[in-house]
Amino acid sequence: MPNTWNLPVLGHGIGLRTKHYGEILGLWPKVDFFEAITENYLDTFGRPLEILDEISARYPFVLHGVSLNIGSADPLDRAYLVKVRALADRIGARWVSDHLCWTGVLGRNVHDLLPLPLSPEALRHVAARVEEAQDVLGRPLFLENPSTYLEFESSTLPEEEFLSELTVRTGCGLLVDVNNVYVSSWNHGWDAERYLDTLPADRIVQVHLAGHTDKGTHLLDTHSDVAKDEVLALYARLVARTGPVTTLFEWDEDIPPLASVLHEAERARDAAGKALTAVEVSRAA
Amino acid sequence: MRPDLTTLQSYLQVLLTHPDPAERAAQTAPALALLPFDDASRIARGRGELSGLERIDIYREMYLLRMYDALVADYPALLTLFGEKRFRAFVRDYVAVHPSRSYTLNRLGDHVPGFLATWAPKGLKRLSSEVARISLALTETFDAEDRPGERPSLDGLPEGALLAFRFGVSPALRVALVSVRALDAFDALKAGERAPKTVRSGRTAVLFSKENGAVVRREEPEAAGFLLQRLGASEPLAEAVAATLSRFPRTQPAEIQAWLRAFVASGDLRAL
Repeated sequence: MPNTWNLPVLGHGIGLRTKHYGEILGLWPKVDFFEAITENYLDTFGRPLEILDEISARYPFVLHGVSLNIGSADPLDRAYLVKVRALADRIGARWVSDHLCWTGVLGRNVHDLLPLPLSPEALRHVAARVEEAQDVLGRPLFLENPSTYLEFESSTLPEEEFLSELTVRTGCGLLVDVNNVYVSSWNHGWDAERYLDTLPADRIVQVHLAGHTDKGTHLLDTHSDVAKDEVLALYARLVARTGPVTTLFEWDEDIPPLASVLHEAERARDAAGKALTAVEVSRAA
Repeated sequence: MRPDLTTLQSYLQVLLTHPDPAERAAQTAPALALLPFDDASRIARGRGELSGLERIDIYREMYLLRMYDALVADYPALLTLFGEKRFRAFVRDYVAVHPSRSYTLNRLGDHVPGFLATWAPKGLKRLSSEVARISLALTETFDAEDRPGERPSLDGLPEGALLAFRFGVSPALRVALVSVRALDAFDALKAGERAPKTVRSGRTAVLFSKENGAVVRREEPEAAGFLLQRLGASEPLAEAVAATLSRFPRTQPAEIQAWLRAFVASGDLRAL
């Protein structure tokens, strides 16, 4: 199923990380696409920005932010959005994404992806801000479901319904982090399959996969390991609905050599291929 | 009554940026100013073995880890100087006074030199503050734009115009006036060594600039660095020279002329 915007399927890529700069610049490995963390390249004219320019000249890129603060009670930072837009234009980013979360209030930034109370009031608040952000960015915004460790007593909407309604009200799209769906579902007792089945498939432009850590009392989204089989199974279920979808593997802690991260992207490609084949077989039958 | 979004987020921010567990943080004045203590356990749902407050603690514990990672990236020499335990205490106390107010963590450590001048233990106040000043100058140059500039043309200027001349500086140039001991310590500590191999005395100017995108460091006499700082602040030449001679009375006019020529030739000083 093509996405609403007819944005291209970029394949199976990885996040651009400092540790891999040398390998990428030296080997120019086969990678479908890269995703850069937006804030790492704002307000800096250091070597990383030059490297981003070099790499983005050879590979498709998407930008992924962590400080949009779309759910905050603070006013939206329009100056930040102008810089994001300029960076996206500079590297020809295919799209720009961030998270359904808040990162700080009263002018502070705690640099975490904090959960929102999922209520009709919060939905109205976020929807207005998504429209404002899209206006400044000059392009659709794609929001990722965060991994969460607490739920508010005041929440009345399931997260998947909150996100789905947000796409209807604002025309924004979704970046579905399947590992986050798994982690949050485990932490809160949600039904991960129902979550994925509820999301509007045509609004999903990208998928994230990653590893997590079992802390005993909860799962932590650490991005420090390979994807668990259960997460890949959920991913296959999602792909069966969306069809081929741009997929990225994230690794942010204890980052291994580039080949190991690329291997995870290949595992995802394999899982997606099998899921799509199964759909075809089922249709043929 | 349910708190509105501003109150809820402000309250959570107080709890998860507090060094103590959420249950204790909820009893502090900033938290009680927002919500009564009884409400703390009713904000977040408990599930499984974790209460709502313990779930807030998951975020709280990660907050200080992130701040630690950001500050150790910019100030690795301070970690060696202080050791793990004192550095963690520094991170905790620093972010309580200077929390991040930017979308990037790159600017989190901007106030570290001034903070350490009062926070650091006796005997380390000046050294740690100066080591931090060198570290900050280095990271600022790293992030700064390396923009070519126009060389100032001083030839043929009448004396009055020359004395009133204001320079610009390379946008990547940073100058730190520090003790030589601090610079030696910075080098040793950054390399993970506890102390420099030799101890030098006196003071120096550490200059960071960019050449072809790479950060370059050099040393100049402290008086030369001071002059460059004054000129970099767009002070008229005569005032910058007078201030330099006043602070460093042994400086000879010929030295100042030589420094000026060198700064213009190197591109540190530019036309405004």
